[in-house]
Amino acid sequence: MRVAALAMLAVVVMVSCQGCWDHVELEDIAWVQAIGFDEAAGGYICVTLEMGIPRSLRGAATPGGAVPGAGPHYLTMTVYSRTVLEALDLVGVNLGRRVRLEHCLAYVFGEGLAKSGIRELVGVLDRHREVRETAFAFVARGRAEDILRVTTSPLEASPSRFLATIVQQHRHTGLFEAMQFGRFVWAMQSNAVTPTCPLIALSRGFTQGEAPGGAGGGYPSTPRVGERIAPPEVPPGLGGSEGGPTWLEAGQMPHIGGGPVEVLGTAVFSGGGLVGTLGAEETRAMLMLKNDFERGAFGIPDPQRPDDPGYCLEFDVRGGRTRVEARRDGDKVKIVASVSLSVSYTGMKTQTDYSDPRNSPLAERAAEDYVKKVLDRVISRCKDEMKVDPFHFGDRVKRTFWTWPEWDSFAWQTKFPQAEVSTEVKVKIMRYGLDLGPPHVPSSEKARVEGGATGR
Amino acid sequence: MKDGGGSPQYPQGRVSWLEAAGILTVFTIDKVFLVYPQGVAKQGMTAGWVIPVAAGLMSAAWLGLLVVVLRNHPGKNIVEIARSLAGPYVAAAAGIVTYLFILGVSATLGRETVSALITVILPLTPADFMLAVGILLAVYIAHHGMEVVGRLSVFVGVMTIAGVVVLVLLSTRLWDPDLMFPLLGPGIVPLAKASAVRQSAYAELLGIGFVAAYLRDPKKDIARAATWSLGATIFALSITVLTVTMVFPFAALVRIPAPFLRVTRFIYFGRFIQRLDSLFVVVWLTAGITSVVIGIWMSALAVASSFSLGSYKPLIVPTGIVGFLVGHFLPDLATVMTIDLDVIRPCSLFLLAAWSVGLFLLDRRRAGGPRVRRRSA
Repeated sequence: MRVAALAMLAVVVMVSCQGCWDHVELEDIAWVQAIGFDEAAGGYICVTLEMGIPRSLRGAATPGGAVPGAGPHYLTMTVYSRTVLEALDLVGVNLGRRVRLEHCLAYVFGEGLAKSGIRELVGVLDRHREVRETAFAFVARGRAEDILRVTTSPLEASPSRFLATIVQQHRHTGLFEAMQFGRFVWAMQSNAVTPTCPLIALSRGFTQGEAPGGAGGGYPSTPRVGERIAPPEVPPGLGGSEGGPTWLEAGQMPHIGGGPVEVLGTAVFSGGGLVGTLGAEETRAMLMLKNDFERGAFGIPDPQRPDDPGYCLEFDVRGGRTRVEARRDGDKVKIVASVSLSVSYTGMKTQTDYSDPRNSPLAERAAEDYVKKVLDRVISRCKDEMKVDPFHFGDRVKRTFWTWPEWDSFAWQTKFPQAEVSTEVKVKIMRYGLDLGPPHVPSSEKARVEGGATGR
Repeated sequence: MKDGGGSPQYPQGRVSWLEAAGILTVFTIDKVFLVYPQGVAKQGMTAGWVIPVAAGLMSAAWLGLLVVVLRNHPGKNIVEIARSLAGPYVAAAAGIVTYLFILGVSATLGRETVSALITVILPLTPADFMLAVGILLAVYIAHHGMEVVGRLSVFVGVMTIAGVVVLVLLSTRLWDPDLMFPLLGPGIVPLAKASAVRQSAYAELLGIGFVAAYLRDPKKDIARAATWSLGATIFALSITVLTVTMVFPFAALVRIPAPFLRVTRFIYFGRFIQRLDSLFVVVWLTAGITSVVIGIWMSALAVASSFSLGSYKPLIVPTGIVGFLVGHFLPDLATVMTIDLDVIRPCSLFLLAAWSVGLFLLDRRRAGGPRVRRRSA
């Protein structure tokens, strides 16, 4: 018995010591940090993979992105293929490593491909075991392959680190919506909501310098002396104190220096295809209506000087809460969205003291008017231009049905353009910052300031 | 005949109500990690979570009848009771059908577990290898008898329910209550029908008919074990379905074969704490193997009781081999899901009705027999 047991043990040890037959060594794997998809001729897709080069990343934290002689710290490779898995195999036989997606943080879809429809493509990705549902989806202005050749910030050591930090700006600014890949795929199958994701683009006037693989793809992060910034090209009717750069989309923001890529605004889908885009300020309004707005700095026309952008009130708005009520009578739907916002910092430039309880309602009304205008504008654009509901109103309308078959046959997205939507906004200034009231102006300067000569 | 307790024929030890409840609970709730939530969502749509609650409450009826019969026949399992009430042929036939059911449930469960494991963790490992290792381990444990199976089940049952609760709590950030609307899903009538059919999810509780024979104090412990196991199972199944209903939109949920496992992949606490599937796979796998242990043990017992064999232990290895072969010949996950959800489960309703109502009526008839004869005399 003992001999038999020992023999059995010996067999087990000999078999198991050979190791796991599905193992792959870490150094035999090429870890994809971001993947991009573009349309290609003949029904093919153009797949671009951005992969880190581990040996170079050790020195990537140094200025310039790499230790001398170490070369660039990431590489990108683009292949034509019929399917995603085919593309991974093709890249593998070129790089000599197994290509894996477990650490892929971003799925970027080129604008052209997104317009033609990506439902099937994201469905393929969603079922792949290596794809993380918590990765992020983007739509690229232009082609995704261009973005992935430079997606890095001079501040970050690697493209993946840049992607991880840039999506955090969603909750700090509200200028775009961070959309997890899993949620993006689910929204594509929903009859209540429509998928949205942030827009990513190369900076306006981007020109690639030498050393394209390094930090910023050779883009000069510090401008030359004497270079000047061009004024923003805001959409018609959005100039003056009610417009500004926050109305722009990715690729439109005027800047020189910094990084070569920006994320701003929202891509709106109808089912599987891109149907339109929203600017950053409109994105904030959309997030408020979706109850997903966390924080953002607003410039609001000062009621004392409504036409002068130089006197805008600065509000740090946070803690937005929205209540959406939907009523339905047959096919007619009436929606009332009540947005409540609280302001935790107020910057005032005129001599009106808005921290005075007698004056603060004035500033609050001004903020309410401004936010309501933005809300009404974005709702109108989505109803009339895009004919989709990216605000999740459908989730509320769904509550007016008792059974799924009734709701499913209602086809909410086709009813949304006819729905009556009204908004209410309530703004409460909670705090004013470390000071109360505007800076004191000495009596000797009062006449000059009141004349509007300075004071900004 | 190692000791003097439990079933007169198979006295392989005595257990408390807690161990009995552990066995029944683990055997029944393991499905939460697999296709059960998806199958329920298909029928119940946005109101899928109602089905495990309603079906569980309905199951209390047949489970109650079974408890009454078992209490009237302490120390006997259902096959032995059937033999005494309906004769050896009926008992043997019923025992064999029960054996086939338990074996089918265990084999499909094992195959589903292996398929899910291959899909998410070990893509290149052959299914047969994993199935063989799992069944080998299960056979080894099952061979140690009822007491070991009972103790293991208490530990695994607590761990599984705790794992489910932890996972549910960790996923609260992902919940979207809007996804529960429309509240009635397919409507009241389809929901009621689905709940009646889905009583089959609790069919494993039929195992009380085998476990009861080993209880220390059958009069008290049978009802207690049945109540606790039913309560724990209703809780685990409904909370799981409720969670996946609030995480995945209905259209997406019906495409996901193991939704609860998918929830673990979506939990994100930061760059270094995410994708908790690797943690929960331990709980999931342990529950799966324990469930197969119980299945093999119970199937062997069912066959031994059917043919009045002196011991069930010699049947454990052959049962394991048959289980492996069934699992081996099931070609893919989609087929396994179809066989499990569309064949075994609906058919098990007849088995539940036959054992509970049939045995109860026979028992009443036997109890009332002498009175009737006295009156006629």
